[in-house]
Amino acid sequence: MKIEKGRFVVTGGAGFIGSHLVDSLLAGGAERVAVVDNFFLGRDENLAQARAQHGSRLMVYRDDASDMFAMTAVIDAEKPDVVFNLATKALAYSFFSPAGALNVNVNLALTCLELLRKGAYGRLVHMSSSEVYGTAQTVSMDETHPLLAETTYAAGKAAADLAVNSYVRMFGVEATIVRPFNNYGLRQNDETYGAIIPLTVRRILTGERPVIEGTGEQTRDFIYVLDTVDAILRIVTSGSHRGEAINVGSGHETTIRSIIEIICKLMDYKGERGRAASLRERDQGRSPHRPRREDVAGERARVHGRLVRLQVEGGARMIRLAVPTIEEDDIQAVVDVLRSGFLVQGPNVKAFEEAYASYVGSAYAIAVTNCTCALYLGLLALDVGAGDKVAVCTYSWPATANAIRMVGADPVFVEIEAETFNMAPAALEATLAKTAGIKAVMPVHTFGGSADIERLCVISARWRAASACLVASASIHARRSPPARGAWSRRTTRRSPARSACCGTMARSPTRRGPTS
Amino acid sequence: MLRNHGQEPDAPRPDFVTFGHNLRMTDFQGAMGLTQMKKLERIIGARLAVARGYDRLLEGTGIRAPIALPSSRHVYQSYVVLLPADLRGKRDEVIAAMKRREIETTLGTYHMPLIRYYRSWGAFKPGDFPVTDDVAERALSLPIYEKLSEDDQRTVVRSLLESTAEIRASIR
Repeated sequence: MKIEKGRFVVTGGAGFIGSHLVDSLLAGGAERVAVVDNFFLGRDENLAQARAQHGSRLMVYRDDASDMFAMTAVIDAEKPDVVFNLATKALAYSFFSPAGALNVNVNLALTCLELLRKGAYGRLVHMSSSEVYGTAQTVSMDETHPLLAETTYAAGKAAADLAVNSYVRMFGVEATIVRPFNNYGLRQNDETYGAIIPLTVRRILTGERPVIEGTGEQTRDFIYVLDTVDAILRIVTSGSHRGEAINVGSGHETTIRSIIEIICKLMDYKGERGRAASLRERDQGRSPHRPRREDVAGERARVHGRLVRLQVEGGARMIRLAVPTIEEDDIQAVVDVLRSGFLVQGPNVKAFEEAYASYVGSAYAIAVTNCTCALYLGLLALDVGAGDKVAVCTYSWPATANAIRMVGADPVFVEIEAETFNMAPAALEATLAKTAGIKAVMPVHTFGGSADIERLCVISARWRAASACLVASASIHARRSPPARGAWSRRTTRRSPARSACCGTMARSPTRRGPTS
Repeated sequence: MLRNHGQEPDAPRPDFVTFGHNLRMTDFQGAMGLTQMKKLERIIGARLAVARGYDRLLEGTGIRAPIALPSSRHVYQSYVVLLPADLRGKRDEVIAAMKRREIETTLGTYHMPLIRYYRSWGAFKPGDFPVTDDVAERALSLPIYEKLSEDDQRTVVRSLLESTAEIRASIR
């Protein structure tokens, strides 16, 4: 299922996570996004961006999504492909109205499920909560963890999950449960019923003390709201997932104490920390208020501007050096191989070799375990061995010189040029003049930028150095730069006495540092 | 032959004609290679766009953007800049200052003759390769990937200018 041109209903769409989901659906090209929200905690300003940028494709119903009559009318009017059920009342509401909190979570799910069963729309993505698991019984809280809800809010969510699964089993409906962990980010409620991060930020901003509840050693998995939205969209676009429950978290465990300390540090707060009993151990006699309604938009923006940059241990919003492009089709392709049981010498390596050879315009491509192996085998293929010398540039990941050592040969280092960071042709010329018996030249296309292969080949041929091995995205240069490639094949076939080998990786391993090897 | 235990690849039955290694790619790597090949041009295109964005933002800052060989296409496996000469030797401080600003950066790559093994193997010393000596102390690799937004690029360059200014101030 694609987001583009799709029709969606988001219950709770004016809320914290819901409004970000609405933004992403609209940005992804959805034909229509309808929000159903009673504005209990939802805020109209959360939809301001969606309205301003994509107003014609957005519809907002101020209505209660747990009301069957209201939802029937909405679904009839909107004819959505998918309903995202994000509506709820906050966890803390269960201390004010325990039965109400449970009831609303169950009723919301039942309303969505009944309409799904009757074929009023095609697919339900039901947002549950990591709260359904209660306190962790096992180190890793995966989807098979027992449902040990500790609040009526969580009990309602757990009951709703069981209802979703029973509808899947009884009626074969297309429904998936998503269990997000602790979200934080822009538009998060920082007032009554607020969560620890926005509450702490607000307290410090308004001159109150930050409060550590309980021992402070209890841990949470904090996840940035846009990462959660990204996960929800991937779930929808990557196949059915019928009857599955899927956890969405960052994978980093953080104690409440440390998250508060991080906020204090970021906000340069040096005052004392307050203490309070943990909410869940406290008696029910607490008297909460209804959410305040006065406009504090300016302050909210300031509060959340900081939140967005908040770094939870492990760096949720750190700008990373590299993030690999790994999408559902990549993951599926790997999973398919694992399921097939043919792990080596199956059809995919051969197909990959053919695709690669065709891409770089080569007659052959031989896939091996990694680029260091490729260099090593390339040198063996050129008969480079013990006592031989191979020219290699000075500035590179050590795999290049190491491959030379692995065949028993000696590297002869050649200076680079400061402009391209690659082997300097003039320095190669000087090295070949000074050092007798260099059998091969190994330039490196450092950082994905091409070395001057044409000139290096002319020089190598003049000095009768056997050939050159190329590393790191050699292929791309070869294909994209016909003059250099022409020169390359001409020199190596006519003048160069020996064969040549071209070793490369696609240099698409961005988690590595330095040239891929 | 050499990657598969010295077996003759075209022989009808296993025929080990030499000693060989076991350097075969697994089929799930091949499968992912295939799906990645399909999006390769898209990924390179996106990285080029990020690189052009950085190029523009770095203009006139004294921080040198990477230079591609004319007539070739750089694919920016890494986007590596050269810090101004007065910050030579301060690159690791720049990395730390960037980290405080929640941005991950790293050195370019290694001066091979001066890593411990080759330094003793070939008795190399600073000064043998002056260009590499200089580059290895000034090169800084900036974040680059397909989904790096223009906002993030601006944040990176702004933070880099703040970081270098901060370190200059501490030198004086």
